[in-house]
Amino acid sequence: MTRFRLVSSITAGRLYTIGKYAVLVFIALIWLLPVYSMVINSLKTAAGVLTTPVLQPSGISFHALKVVAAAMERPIFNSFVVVLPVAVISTFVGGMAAYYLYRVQSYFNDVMFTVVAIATFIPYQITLVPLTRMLAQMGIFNTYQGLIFAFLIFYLPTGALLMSIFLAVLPKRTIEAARIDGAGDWLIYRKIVWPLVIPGSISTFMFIVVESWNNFFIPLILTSTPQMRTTSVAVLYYSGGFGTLYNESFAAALMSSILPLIIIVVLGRYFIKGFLALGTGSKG
Amino acid sequence: MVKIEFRKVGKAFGKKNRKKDVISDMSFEVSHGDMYGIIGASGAGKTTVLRMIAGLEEPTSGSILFDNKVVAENGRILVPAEERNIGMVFQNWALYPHMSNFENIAFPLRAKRVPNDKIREKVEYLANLLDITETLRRRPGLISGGQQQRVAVCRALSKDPSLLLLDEPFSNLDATIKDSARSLVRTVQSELGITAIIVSHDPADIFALASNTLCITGGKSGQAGKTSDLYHAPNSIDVARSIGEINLLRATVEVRNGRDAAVLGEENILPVTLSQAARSSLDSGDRSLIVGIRPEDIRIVEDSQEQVDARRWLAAGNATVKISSYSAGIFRILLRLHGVETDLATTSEHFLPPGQEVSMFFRKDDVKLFDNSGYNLAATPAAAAVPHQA
Ligand SMILES: Nc1ncnc2c1ncn2[C@@H]1O[C@H](COP(=O)(O)OP(=O)(O)OP(=O)(O)O)[C@@H](O)[C@H]1O
Ligand SMILES: [Mg+2]
Repeated sequence: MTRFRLVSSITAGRLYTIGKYAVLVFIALIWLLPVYSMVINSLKTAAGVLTTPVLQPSGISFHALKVVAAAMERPIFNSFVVVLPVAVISTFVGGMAAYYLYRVQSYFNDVMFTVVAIATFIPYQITLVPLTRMLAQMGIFNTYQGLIFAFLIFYLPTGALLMSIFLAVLPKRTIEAARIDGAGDWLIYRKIVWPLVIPGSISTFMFIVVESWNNFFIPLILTSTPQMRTTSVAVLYYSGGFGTLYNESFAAALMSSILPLIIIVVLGRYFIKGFLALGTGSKG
Repeated sequence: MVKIEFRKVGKAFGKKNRKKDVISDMSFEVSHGDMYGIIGASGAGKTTVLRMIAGLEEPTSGSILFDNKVVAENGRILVPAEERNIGMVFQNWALYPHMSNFENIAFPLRAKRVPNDKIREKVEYLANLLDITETLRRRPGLISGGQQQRVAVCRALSKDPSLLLLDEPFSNLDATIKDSARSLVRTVQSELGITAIIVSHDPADIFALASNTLCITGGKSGQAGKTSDLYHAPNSIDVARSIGEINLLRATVEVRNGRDAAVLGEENILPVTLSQAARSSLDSGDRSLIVGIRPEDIRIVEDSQEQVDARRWLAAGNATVKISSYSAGIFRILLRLHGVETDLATTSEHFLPPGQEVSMFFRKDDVKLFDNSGYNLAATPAAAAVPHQA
């Protein structure tokens, strides 16, 4: 009897494990399928892409990738120039805002926090017309500064909001101890807060890099020359329209997603770490 | 060195419609170079008072003065925490987990932009004084609780503060190292001659360190004064209980053999002397009161022939031993009185078997009488005369 129970509970456990992995594999497949098709199709020739099904590889040709790479060089460079400062500033300055909202609790700051939260979810479309006019008047329309400025308007609140979430697990006593030790806010932020929320700031940084890299609408409206196009906009010119070569569309898509992909793969565990810190509370 | 003064300080938390008064109408003074104790039950408001002194919390009403200069008043902080030159040891030490112990101790000096060689000198001096030199290169997470406490004390002292605040600094330590930690704090404080305030709910900390004490009861200043006065002449039951163990027995006042006596239960009769004020408040009807007696003020006599000095001891009738337990060379005895619900705790130098009948004597000068609202009937005539709401 006991023996039977033991056996059946083991098989139940096995089944559960198998089921769990089946689900995980399924989810991974769903996620990997587009990546897979992107890779194999960008390696096809123009004829190959028309004659073989999407999920079936047909030979390896770097032609499409080469062609697209030449054309995408400038947009990818533009994206880097815009996205990196935006992510760095949004994380660091957003963190400062988060620190201030965390340290000084007042009615005003509660309102500020709400404003930040709302700003994070504001649809771009609403603000773009006034923003375009503003940039034009400031003389930075269709420039890097203009793009960075516009991105910051949208991603600084995101940075502040995310950093607020990560800062909330900082023990208040630690910061109070630093104040009693005679440290001002700037010193506390640099020497106490920042080092203790590094996992969180990496997550925030990555999130903003990926989001702003993929952002299509802002650069589409705020740039007017091909020279200023960012990756997300440039990719558009490879999808749909007359005479599109599908292998080139896939190649362009692959190139444009390479940075987000690398970031997720390389820094993914830091991203998870940051969120884990939320659950366990930072040690302090 | 600094003198601290609270003038009618009140503190409430929360918004308008959900306000919670935590401290009300609190006034006291801590003099230069004093080691001052703050004691009170859990949730009494000790930490809140300390945080107001530190500048981490503003008083909702009243004012706080450092050396006769107002530092916070009526909901506003005039001198912020970072400018009060305070060293503080938090309840859980609040060390910086990402810095080495050296950097923890050095942090207040770095904030002051002290040159590196001076910092090294100071940190090493303190570490040596508190015997943690070996741990300086490690992080706080990797050293024992006792060492962390000493790092926290070093950090609090490194910038030569004029005021040292300690919030339950020993509560996280093993019993075995508590005493050495206490004597360490005492030595450091007297050597440096700074004003220090120690908050604790444990009377042992207060007796070991504080010559003057404030006892907080329910957010109010229950009593402030010499620590021994709080112990021997507490204003109220709350104060008496906060600062030590006390037996409390309900009694009714009756006249026996022409004099006042407190009757405990069915058989125990204790002669008492009532102050004029106490008498008048009792005369107004309710004749019940509460007798308070500390364990060490009870003497147990097994042999009825034994002579007891009647000038110092009051016969309080008989009792039965309920149980004897043992701690640190002394037996702790619980006594039952006939017709009394609560047991009486006391100590004895030798073991007494359960069930043994004994005679009981109370130390004459240390029997405390409280009215039904818990105020000491002998304390101040005013306290006894004013009717209190329970
Ligand atoms: N920030 C706050 N907001 C609301 N209520 C608070 C706040 N801080 C303290 N309190 C309340 O004030 C009261 C006193 O708290 P305090 O921490 O001063 O007590 P304490 O005497 O230090 O207690 P303990 O011995 O448990 O440390 C408690 O009822 C607590 O819930
Ligand atoms: Mg406390």
